[in-house]
Amino acid sequence: MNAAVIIAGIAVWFTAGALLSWFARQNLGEGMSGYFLANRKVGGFISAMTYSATTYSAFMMVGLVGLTYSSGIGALGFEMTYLAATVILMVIFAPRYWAAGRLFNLVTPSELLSRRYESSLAGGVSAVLCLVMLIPYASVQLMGIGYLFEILSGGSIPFMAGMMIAAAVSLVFSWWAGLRSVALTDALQAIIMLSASLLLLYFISHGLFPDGFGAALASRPDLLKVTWSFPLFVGLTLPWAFFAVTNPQVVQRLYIPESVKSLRKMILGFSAFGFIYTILCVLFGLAAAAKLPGLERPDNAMALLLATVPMPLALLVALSIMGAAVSTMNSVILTLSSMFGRDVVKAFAPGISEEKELRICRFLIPVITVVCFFFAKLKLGLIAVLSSMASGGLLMQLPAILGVFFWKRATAAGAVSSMITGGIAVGYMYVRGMKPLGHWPPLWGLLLSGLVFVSVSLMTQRPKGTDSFMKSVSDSVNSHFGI
Amino acid sequence: MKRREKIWMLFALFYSVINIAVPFLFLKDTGSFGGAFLFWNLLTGAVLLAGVWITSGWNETAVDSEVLK
Repeated sequence: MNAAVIIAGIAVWFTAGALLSWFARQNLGEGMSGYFLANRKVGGFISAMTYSATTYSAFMMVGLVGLTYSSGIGALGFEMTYLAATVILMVIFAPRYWAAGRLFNLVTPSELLSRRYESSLAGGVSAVLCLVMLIPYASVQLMGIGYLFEILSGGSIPFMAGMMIAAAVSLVFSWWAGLRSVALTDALQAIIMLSASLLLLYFISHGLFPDGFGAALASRPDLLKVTWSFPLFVGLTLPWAFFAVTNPQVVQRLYIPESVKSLRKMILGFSAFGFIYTILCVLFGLAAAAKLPGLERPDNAMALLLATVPMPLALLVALSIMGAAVSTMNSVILTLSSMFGRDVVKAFAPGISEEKELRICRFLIPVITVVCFFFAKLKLGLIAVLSSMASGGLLMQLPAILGVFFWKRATAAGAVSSMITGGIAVGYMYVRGMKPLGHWPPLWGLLLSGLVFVSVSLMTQRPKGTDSFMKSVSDSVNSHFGI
Repeated sequence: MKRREKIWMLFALFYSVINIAVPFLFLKDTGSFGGAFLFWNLLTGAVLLAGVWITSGWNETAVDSEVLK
């Protein structure tokens, strides 16, 4: 595809997003809550779309397509498990996060740990863990765009240039008006992602495979068999299954719906979006495997598939992938900047004014964007594995998060020690390439983290306000949700 | 945690078991769309529909003032 056409497409798309950002800025609220949570006044549709666009990144159309291409239908099981687990967890956790956010005026997910465990160290450790683990996750979004545009343009748009464009757009959308801008641009991206994918499916079914998918895949029945090993399935799926409660960029979105009705709409809207989008991405992976067998780099499957479709459609799909990447990346960076300000800086300087706190957070948005850019330059491994490693590290917060709502005996020392030991163990095992007994690091890390959490909690004093905290949350959940 | 949530947790446990057991034990070698592909789609669809049911009991207490729509 001609580089000038791609750049023109990006310019049109960016202009539409920038206009939404400008609109969002007109009604920007004050303080941390205004900037990072849109004053907790987001309607159901926008909440659902921003949750979907934040969750579903370039990984879907690049990584998942590549994973399906190389390993078949196991990839569908992996992604569907994530979706079902997210809905299961949201039903339990969304009302509690939503209620706690309003009760205690929480801005970040880690702040909940600080409040419940009466320890700023608990929130600080969680925030640092998220910072360390989410840099690779945000970076793979840039890598996805870099690869995509390099291949689509036949090398005219180099890997680095594609990444720079994506980083710049992400920065503009997030920095200008915080979550109001990100939520509105996310909604735009989500609509483009779904529409472009449906159009691509229509073309593939009618243009590339006039006899249907079934006939096209008749020569590749291996792709429809479960060829994944059990340890691989567990290793990749386990961290993603708990994504909804351990990844701060999506947890923070549980604070934003303006009412219980909007929160429900968010969950159901996301469910529908995720179900359709997952099936589409898996079908694209299968289509690429049937049409373009023998690729050396599976992550390039989507880009090469697009080279076989009409140019306007290829451009639209490429922009939708860029939208998916940008919407995830700027949400991650926005959340990380709020966590650094609220859970790290404020822990050291509790007397800091909210205005100054917000200034520091906003300063961090470009800083984190640049860090992600340089990390992405390293081009480490397969995109799917990198993303999963990030979630694997974040999974180490799970015992502490469960303790917040469901275990009165949980203590700050237990929470802090479990996150530190689990985080170090998982990081070490990934770096050394260790898979004890054939199982992936998140499984061992979670076992260790859970064990440390329970043991240390039982040996230390629980926070004085535990009963009061739990009663407040329980009463609020009961009055708003009837549960 | 009330009765409805307890039922939900049991349902989640049941889902977790069959989500892995059925494809890995019984559909591993079925090389058609009627195998693991269909199973994982149907099972996930069932979970999502159950989600519609379980959240239908949530009270709907709207908060006034300007909303980002």
